[in-house]
Amino acid sequence: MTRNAMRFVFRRFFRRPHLERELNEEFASHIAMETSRRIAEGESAETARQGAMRDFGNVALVAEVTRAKWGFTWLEQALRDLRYAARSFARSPLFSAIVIVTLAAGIGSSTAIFSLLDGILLRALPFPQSDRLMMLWEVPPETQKPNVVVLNNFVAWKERGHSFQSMAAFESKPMNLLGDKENEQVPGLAVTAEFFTTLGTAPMLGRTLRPGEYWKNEPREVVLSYGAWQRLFGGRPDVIGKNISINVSHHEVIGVMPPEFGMPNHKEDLYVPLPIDTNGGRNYSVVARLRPGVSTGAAQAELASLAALTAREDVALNAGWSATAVPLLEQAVGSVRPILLILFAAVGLVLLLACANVANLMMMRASGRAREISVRLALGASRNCILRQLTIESLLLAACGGLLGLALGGAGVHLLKTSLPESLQIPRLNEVSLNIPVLLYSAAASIASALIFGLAPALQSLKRNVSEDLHESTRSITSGRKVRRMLVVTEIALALVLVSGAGLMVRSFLRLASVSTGFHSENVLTVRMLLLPVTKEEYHAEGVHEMLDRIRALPGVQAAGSIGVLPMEGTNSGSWYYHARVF
Amino acid sequence: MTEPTQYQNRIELLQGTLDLLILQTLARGAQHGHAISQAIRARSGELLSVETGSLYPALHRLEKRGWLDAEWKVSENNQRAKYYALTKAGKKQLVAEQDRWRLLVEAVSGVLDPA
Repeated sequence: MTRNAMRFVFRRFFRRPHLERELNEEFASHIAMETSRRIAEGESAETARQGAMRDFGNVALVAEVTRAKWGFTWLEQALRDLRYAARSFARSPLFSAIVIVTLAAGIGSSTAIFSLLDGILLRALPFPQSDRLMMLWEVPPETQKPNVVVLNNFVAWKERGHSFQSMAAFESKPMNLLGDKENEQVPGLAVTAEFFTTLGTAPMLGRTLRPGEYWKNEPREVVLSYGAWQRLFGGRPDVIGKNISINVSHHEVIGVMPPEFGMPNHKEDLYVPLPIDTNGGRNYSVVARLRPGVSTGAAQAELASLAALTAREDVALNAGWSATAVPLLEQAVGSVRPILLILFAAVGLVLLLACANVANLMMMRASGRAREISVRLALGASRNCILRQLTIESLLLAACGGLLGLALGGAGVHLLKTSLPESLQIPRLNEVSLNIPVLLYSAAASIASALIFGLAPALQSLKRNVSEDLHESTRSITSGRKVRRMLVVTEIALALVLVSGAGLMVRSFLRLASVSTGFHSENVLTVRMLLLPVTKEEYHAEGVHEMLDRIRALPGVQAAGSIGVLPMEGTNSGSWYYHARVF
Repeated sequence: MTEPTQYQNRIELLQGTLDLLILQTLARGAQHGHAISQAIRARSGELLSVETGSLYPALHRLEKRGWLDAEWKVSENNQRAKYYALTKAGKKQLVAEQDRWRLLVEAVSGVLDPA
C-alpha cells in the first residue's frame, strides 16, 4: 500500500462522519453547478434545478456505490450488527444473564485449571536453558526406583562422565541461625561448588561459590535467598561481607540470589558449601547440566554404564546398583501431570456442556425470531448477512461470558493458591498466575464456544422456508426440534462422562486413603530438633536419651522414640528401618 | 435537457476506459467532478456521457489507489467544489492506460481490416 493510500484509509476510517458530510457536499456542489450551467443556457431557475436533479440520478444510490469504494463497509456493518445485538440482548435481560453466567462458569473453570496447567506444566523452570538440566539418581536393585546418591559415586560420575558439562550434589538441611536476640531454625541447602554454575543463574548481589573445587575443608561462606535477604536483613545492600552465625560457626555472606531462584519444590533460605565426604551414606541429590548436543538418552546410557563400572569396583557399596537421569521439569512436576490433565479434560467437558446448554437456549430464541429472519430474507438480506449477524450475536454473548469467566477464573486461581493444603505438595503452585498465555487461552475458549453454541442455531435459521414462515410462524417452531433433541442427547452424554469420572476419582481417593501405611498415625505427635555439632557423637546420643526420658515421664505419654527422618518424609527415603545403637 | 436522439447516439463506455478518460482530463489540470463530466462529454462530441453513479465511485477509487489527490477549492463561479488532481503515480498510470488503449485500438483495427 502506498503512503497516499494509507492516508486515505486512515482518513476514511477515523473521520467517517466528516466524510459523509463531505460526500453530500460534493454532490450538492455538482447539482448546483449543473443548475448554473443550465440557467446560463437560458433555462428558468426552477426547470434548471429539476433538470440537474434528474440528471444526477438517485443521490442515495450514488452515495452508496461511492461509499463502497472506501472499503470499510464490512466494519461498519459489523459495528451496526453489534449495536443491534446489544440492543436486542438488553431487551431480554434474563435470557442474556442466564447465557452469560452459564458461559462464565464454563470459561471460568477452564481458565482456572488452564492457569495451573500453564504455571506448573508448560512454563519453563526459572533457569537459563532449563530443559538441559537433569536430576541424577542411583537405582537400587530392590525397588528399581530413583534413590538419593552417595558422594563416592557422584565423584566417579563427575570425573569419568562426558555427557554433562557440570554437576553438583546438594542436601536439604535445617540450619540454626544465631541472631542477636533469638535463634531461628531456617531451611538450608548444603551444595557442592558447581551448584550455581550448573543451574546457570547469576546472583543478584555479590558472587556465588567458586566453582571447580572439591572441599575437604569447605569455605565458611553463605549465599542468601532473596526471601532470606528481605526477611533477615531487610533487603540491605551492605549485607555482602557480613558474618552470620550458622550452626555455631561464622559464615561470610558472599551473595544474594534473585527472587525466582530456587530448586523446584524447595524453599531454602541459605546455601552453604557441602564438603565432599566420601565416608557418608546415600543422602544427596544431584543436579547436572547436559553438554550441548548430548541427548537425554545418551546421557542416561552413559550414566548406566558408569554405574555398572562402579558396581564392579566397589562391590560392598554398589553391587546391583544402577543410575538414571530424569529431566528436572519432569522430576518437579511429573507426579501431578496426570491429575492436572484429567482435571483439564473435566473442565473442558464442563465448558462443552455449558455450550450445549447455551446452544439449546439460542435455538429456542431463534424459533421465536423465525419471522424476523424470514422478513429480513424476504426484503433481500443475503444469507451471509444473516449468518454474520447471528455470529456477531454469539460472539458478543461469548465475550461477555468470557470477561465474567476471566474474573471467576482469577478468583478461582486465588482460591486454589491460598486454600490448597500444603500437605498436597503441589509443585510450582506459587508460579501460577493469570498471565498473557492464560488470557489468550480464555479468549480462545470464548471464541471457540461462540462458534460451538452459535453454529447450530445459525445454520438452522438459514434453512427456513421464507414463504411458509411468513404465512404461519407456528410451523417453524417445529423445525428446530430435531437439532434440539440432539443437543439434549449430547448434554446427557457429557454429563454422564463427568459424573462417572468424578465417581471414579472419589473411589480412587477413598481407596488411597484406606491404604495401610504400616503404622498408626492416630495420637502420635512429632517434634523436630536440630542437634548442634559436637566434638563427640556420644554427646548427641546422651542429649537425645535424656530428652526422651523426660518426655516419657510426662503424664499422658505412652511411648517416645527418635529417628533421623520420619516415615514418608525426606527425599526418596528408604522403605526399611533399622534399630540404631544407642551409645 | 438531453435530447432523446442524442441519447441513442451515445456509446456505452468499455470497461476500464472511464479511468483513462478521467486521468486524461485531469492531465490538463485539477478539476471537480462536474467539470470532468462536462469535459468528457464536450470533447467526445457529445457521444460519451458519464453517469454520476459511475463517475464518483471511479473518482473515489482512483483517489484510494493514490492516483488522484483531492482538495476543496472555490470555483470561478464562487462555488465550493472538490477538485481532483493527478499525483505522480497518477501521471504514470495515465501513460500506462494510454499505451494499453492504443494497443487495444490497434488490435481491434487489425481484426476489422485484415491487411
